[in-house]
Amino acid sequence: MIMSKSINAIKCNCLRKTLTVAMSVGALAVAMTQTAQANVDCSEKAASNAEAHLMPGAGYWMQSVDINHITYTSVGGISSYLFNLETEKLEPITRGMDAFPIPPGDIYVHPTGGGGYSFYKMGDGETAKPIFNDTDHFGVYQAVGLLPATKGPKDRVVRVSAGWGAGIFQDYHITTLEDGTYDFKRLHSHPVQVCRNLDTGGLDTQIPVLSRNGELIAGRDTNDQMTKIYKITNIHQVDAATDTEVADCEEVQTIPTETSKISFSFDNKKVMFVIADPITGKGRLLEMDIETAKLTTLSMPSEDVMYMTYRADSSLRNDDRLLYSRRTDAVGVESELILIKPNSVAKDDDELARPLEALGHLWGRACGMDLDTDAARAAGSRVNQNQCDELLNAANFASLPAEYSDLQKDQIQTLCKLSERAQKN
Amino acid sequence: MIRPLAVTLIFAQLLSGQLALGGSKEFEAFVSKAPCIDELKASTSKVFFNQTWYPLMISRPRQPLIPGFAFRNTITGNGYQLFADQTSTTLVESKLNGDTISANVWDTRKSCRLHSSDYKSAQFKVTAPARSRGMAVFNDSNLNDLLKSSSWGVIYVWSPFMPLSIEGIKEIRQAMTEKGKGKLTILVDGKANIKAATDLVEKGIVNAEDIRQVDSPELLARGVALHYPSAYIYKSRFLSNRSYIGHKSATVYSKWIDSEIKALTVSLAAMKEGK
Repeated sequence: MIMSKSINAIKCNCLRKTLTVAMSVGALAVAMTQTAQANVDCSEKAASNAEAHLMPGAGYWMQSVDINHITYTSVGGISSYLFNLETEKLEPITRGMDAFPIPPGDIYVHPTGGGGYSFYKMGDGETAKPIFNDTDHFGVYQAVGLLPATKGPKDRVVRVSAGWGAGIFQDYHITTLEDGTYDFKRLHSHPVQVCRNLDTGGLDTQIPVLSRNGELIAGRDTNDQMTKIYKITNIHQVDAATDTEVADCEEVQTIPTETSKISFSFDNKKVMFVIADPITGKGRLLEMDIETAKLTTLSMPSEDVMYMTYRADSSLRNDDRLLYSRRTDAVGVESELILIKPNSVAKDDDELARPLEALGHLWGRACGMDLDTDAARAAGSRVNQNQCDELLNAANFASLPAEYSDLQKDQIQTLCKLSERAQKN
Repeated sequence: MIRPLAVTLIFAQLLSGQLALGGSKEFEAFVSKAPCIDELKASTSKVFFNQTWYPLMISRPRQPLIPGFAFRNTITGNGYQLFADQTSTTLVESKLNGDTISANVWDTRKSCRLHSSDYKSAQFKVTAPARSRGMAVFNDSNLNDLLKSSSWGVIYVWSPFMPLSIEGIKEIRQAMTEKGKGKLTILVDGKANIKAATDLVEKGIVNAEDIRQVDSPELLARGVALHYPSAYIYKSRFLSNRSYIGHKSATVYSKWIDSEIKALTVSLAAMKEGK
């Protein structure tokens, strides 16, 4: 069964209920039982413009196809699914694993059983035949980037990386012909071996991911276990006889911990990833600005996040929304897809950070939770205008932690308005 | 307040089955900058700081996420975290007892001494999904027994959520069969869809003994839930901190096993010599 619910529609679903919420307060974890204030949405999805979908068997791998579609690989076997966020229905797609859409989403690529990669046209259904097979490109964990040489949706230069051996990629010139068919040209005789200039002799084999423009590649370093982001440079031939090509890599940023696979934003400026809570082991969703290394927590404290992807609009720009799957209960019978639009106003402006934290603390207090700073920011960024008004009423405002007593109510109110405006835009 | 911690830490060190690889230089750099670290060392135990720590990212007030370090004791499941910002250093001790984790926190924010006023304690419940459904689990006690049961081995963790982790079972089996020695232990994602896992047993895709669910803080602390498959090597009762994640061929697994065993051997020798 597929279920979808707007967060606004389920507002107050926990009114006056006794909540037992286990949460992490930084390194300290606390269990509390309290009664929620009236008219405050205490669900973990307390986010303006957020949507929640129960998807059958959704798990750890998903990609944004376009504004309304995602592909994902299901539980318990090797099966891809195409999920329509608008109709909340599954649409037919070939069942090989890890269908990776190629922007703008009219075609996609699967690893082929037995080696190689096969490209398919989206919408051709479960029994579609490949429109192109590359038996020379091999491995799994493929990622796709649209190189800057792309002239438009009908004249694309596409990079497909794979994580087998020490990391490889192939580039394809894909032209959409007048009759709607596609012409594929491989741009390298054989897959290019990536990052061979690194001390490790190549990109680590673990969970590599290509940026949306194909120019960055990330993977976990085998030695220090940290996830590193590299710029791909200097593609050059090293053996004329076999026409073997390699590419160098320059390290751009390090995420100084073990992470899940990462997801690049469509403007290639940010990455999202999951880390394990040091105590509870729950998945926590973070975003990092690649240039500044600034980190933001995006998930709520009690959520157990599994996988994530940014969502692109039809022009392949960031939609400013992101999707993540999380476990719906302790036994993982189903996972749930959450679509949110984090508050970009407060996230990027330190001046507004404290009002945002204060708002999050007010929400936490109203819902019986004592949040740490990053959890409060995450919660504050997901409070909508109606919630904001309720939280700022006299009874609730009195519960503001003492360290925020210098803040005036209208400072927080302004934040709510800015947030609302940003989310509408 | 401080004395019991120091005793615990020394005891933990004596019983430790932990071996962290890498990160020592980073830890030393971290310690050199951590405020009040000398006082913290003096108040706890110098022995504590001779442990090898592995890096974490930890939340604390005023800074969403900062680098920190953690040490976990394989046998007790207890753990320690150390993190710092510009003004203070915090030490967290967490203890697992049944389904409850207790956290003791010492923070030097108020002074460079660990006063009782700097101490907070809390606890929360962790209910393993498998336990709640009567499924077989693999906890730290099982891990401890495993580390004692064979001189070396591989722990491979898969998830029905990740098809390639199912495919990889035959690859790791083949690699271990070719080695002819070593024990292979196959476990499943602690939060996996149990029905999906048991269905795979019924279909003959995985064996019944391969669906013990991970309920081990030791493995969780090593990021076992971040990606499947995750594989770990242990040798002479020491479990590597380095996970090997993602689908691999039998040949790649074989090379990894050789390389990790070699690294563990070197580290164990260094530890024996007190380096």
